[in-house]
Amino acid sequence: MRAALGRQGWFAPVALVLGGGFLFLSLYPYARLVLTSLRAGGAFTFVHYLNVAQHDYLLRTPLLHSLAVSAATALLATALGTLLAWFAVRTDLLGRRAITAFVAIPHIVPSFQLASSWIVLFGDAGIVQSTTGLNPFPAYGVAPLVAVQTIHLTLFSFLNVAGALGSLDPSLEEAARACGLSARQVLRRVTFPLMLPSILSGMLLAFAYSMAEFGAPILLAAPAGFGTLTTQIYELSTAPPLQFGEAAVLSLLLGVLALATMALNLRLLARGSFVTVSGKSGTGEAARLGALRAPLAALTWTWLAATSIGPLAALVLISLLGSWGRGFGPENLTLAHYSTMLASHTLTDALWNSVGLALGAAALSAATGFVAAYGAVRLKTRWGALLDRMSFVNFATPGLVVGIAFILAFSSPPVSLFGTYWILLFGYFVHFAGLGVRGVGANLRQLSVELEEAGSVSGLGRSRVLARITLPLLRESLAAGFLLVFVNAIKEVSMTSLLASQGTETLAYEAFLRYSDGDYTVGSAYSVLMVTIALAGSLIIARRSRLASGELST
Amino acid sequence: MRRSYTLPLNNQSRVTKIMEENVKSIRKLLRFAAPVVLAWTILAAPAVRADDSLDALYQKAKAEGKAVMYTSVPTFILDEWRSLFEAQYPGVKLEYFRSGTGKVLARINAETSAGQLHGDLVWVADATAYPDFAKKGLLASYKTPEWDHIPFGKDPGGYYVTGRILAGVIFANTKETQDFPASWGDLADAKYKGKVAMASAVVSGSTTVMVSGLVHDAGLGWPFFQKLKDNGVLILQDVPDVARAVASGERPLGITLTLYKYQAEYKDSPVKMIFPKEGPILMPSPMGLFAKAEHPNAGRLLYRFLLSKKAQAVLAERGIYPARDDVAAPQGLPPLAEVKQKAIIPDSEWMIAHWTDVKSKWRDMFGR
Repeated sequence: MRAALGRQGWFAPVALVLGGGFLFLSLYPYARLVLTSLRAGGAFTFVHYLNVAQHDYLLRTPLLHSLAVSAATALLATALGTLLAWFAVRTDLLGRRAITAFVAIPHIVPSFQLASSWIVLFGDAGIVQSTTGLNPFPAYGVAPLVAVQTIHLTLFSFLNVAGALGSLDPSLEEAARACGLSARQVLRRVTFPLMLPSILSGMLLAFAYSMAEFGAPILLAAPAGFGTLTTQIYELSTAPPLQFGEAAVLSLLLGVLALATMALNLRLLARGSFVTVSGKSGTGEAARLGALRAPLAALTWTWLAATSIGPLAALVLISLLGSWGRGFGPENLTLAHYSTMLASHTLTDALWNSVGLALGAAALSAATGFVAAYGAVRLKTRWGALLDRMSFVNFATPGLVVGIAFILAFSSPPVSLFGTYWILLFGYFVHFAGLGVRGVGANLRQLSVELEEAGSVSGLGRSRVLARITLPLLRESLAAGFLLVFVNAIKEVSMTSLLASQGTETLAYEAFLRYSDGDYTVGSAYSVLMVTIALAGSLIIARRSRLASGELST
Repeated sequence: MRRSYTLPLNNQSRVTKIMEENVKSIRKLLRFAAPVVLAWTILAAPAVRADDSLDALYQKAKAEGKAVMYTSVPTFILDEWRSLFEAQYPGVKLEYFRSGTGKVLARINAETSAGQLHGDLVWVADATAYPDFAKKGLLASYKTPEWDHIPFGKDPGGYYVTGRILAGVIFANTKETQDFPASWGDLADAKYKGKVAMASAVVSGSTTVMVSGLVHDAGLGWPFFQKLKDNGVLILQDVPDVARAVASGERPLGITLTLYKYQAEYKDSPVKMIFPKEGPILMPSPMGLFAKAEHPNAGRLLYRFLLSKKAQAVLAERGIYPARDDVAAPQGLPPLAEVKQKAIIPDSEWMIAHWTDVKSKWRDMFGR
């Protein structure tokens, strides 16, 4: 491996630092987790595994629930995300360039917030019922959970597919058209199959995210008596008598499931070659929607408005609410909660911590994504593949468990990061790097190696080929990874609420604390501020990188 | 080129060697010192009955710079305490790690396994955690003069003491109903079908305590909860969710804590606190000092501050019963001495003995 890397110039040291750093930061806490699952009262034991295997309420029931909800969520979110990406990049749909922002909003709003908004909107005596007298949807249950998670996770497939569509070589489709295929046939037989790695990559992320998700299930499905693996893990790690050994076993099970879905994904992809991008600029032909243009636009924009403005409006409304139970009219609205927030002496710190930590984690993750993808796809090293797999396992591990594993590993010597920014930065990095790695890997699989070879032939050194050819071609997926990690790190609470110390609080954590104090109004004010910053950040990142805009610059 | 690589390697191995030697000598020292220190601690422990003057404590605390508290007490109270504490003791900072009781327990558990606790003082809602802490040797014994003012919930060994008393009551939405339950048992009456909300006993720490209080101490047993279930009780995540659900009219009745009524966002809400005829469920919430605190003196100073009249009065303003008998009850609530005559006070020994049973019964009933 060293010889292969050695020829890559600057790639080798960067890969060693980032890849080695990432592996240490994820494998060491993970090893502590495995160890915890094998110990009871200081002795080696399998008792936690036996306990889990023997009790249906620990294993069978929550596992089936989690699998069902996550599969449904992943399928729906992927179908929706792929369709919207196609609209945004390849059609003449009205306002197609604005779609990205509206798909991003419900991903930027934290899922527990989205779930709270759902309850406040559709619960008995909620906003919808008290203003219209109607109650179209149930407040609690499995259907609301799947709906909220689907809305929350559409962005994954959207970004993956839009990125790949944007860099797809149009000549393949042109050739198919020239051979006499209709536009629809081209879509079905050429475009869609070529998009498969990106579609699956988005689906995999949505599935893993949903498996590890805690906020939405506990708020929406638990009241209906429906528990998931994550709610079970939470209960085992926080409700006395604490049974963290069992919680560790269930977390490892989530990791194994993540590896299995990944292997399945690789098998599906092994059947074909997806190398399509030859570097020619242009986006191919925009499909003309014709007579369907107006109705499709109406449908798309109704959906996008409802799923982005709906939750945002509910959030803002709660942040302005005077007293609960006195309606949502102007006489019961106040700015007092914003003054309370602005008077807090931790606000400025929290704001900068949020931005700094999210940007830092995003930069580290995107760079690691490149290193892992290049190592796995181009250099075909085992290290690249290990990075790829480990980052996905970490992503499928609930934030709470990553937090506990980090305390086990890094709260006392030899590696003590306690009370520092580093423990949060590395926590976010380890937990979310998978978002950077997956997209870049899928993109690189589609990228023909010939371009890079051409660069070498014309006398460019390896470093220059990387810098001038490979990286620019990967720009969209790198930017998408950066953006996803940024958004997810800035809104993270499960891990943060275990690892934060005085001075390292983030906005999302401050919001979460207010929520757990029962101070929903002030908490929502913090959330509004956090969502605004995350949204502004995402728009800047998207504009800078011309993400999902359907234009490829070369 | 090669030489420049070998040099640092040599240096490194020398550094490692020196470090190893140091570690060895430290280990040697520890082997001799440990029994001595241990004996000294055991002998000295009962003597920490603290009459040492606050002034002397403050001087020592100043040298440590800060006190760190692991707690589930609401943020708005902690922020008020911080201002008061830092004004009274300039040079000593009050820092806190605030999370739900469960997450505080999880963090203490993980830090203990990792070998180093980073807090000085622990204060969570769940009283049953403390005997376990004490048994594991995590707590330091510290009886202070303030203990004399605390009428109940004091550990004879001095390892923990009640700092506040949470009171579980029924919240009713007066816009939705005027027909209030007279007793806890009435909540399971058929006429309240579909009208009651409460929190999950396996997620919300205070709800676990209230459930065992109702099952065991009030003698309602599990049939009460079975009836609640049959009547479609809404099980929410935690007690603040119940307050919100009742105030907003999502459910007209709910089991939750008095303190939420005192929050700004419920000031004008149509919410009435109901004390059922068996009385409220009183839950003493203790605090204790960690034995291996990083700032032991600052921790002690903070401990005594939290039990002072000034700090306890902050609790009363926020709708929580102070632990001290010489601080007035929250406005609108009867004095503690009176309430105590007729209240459900969950027996923590029974709870500890029946944890697993309560959890599994709950899970069987409510599906988690």
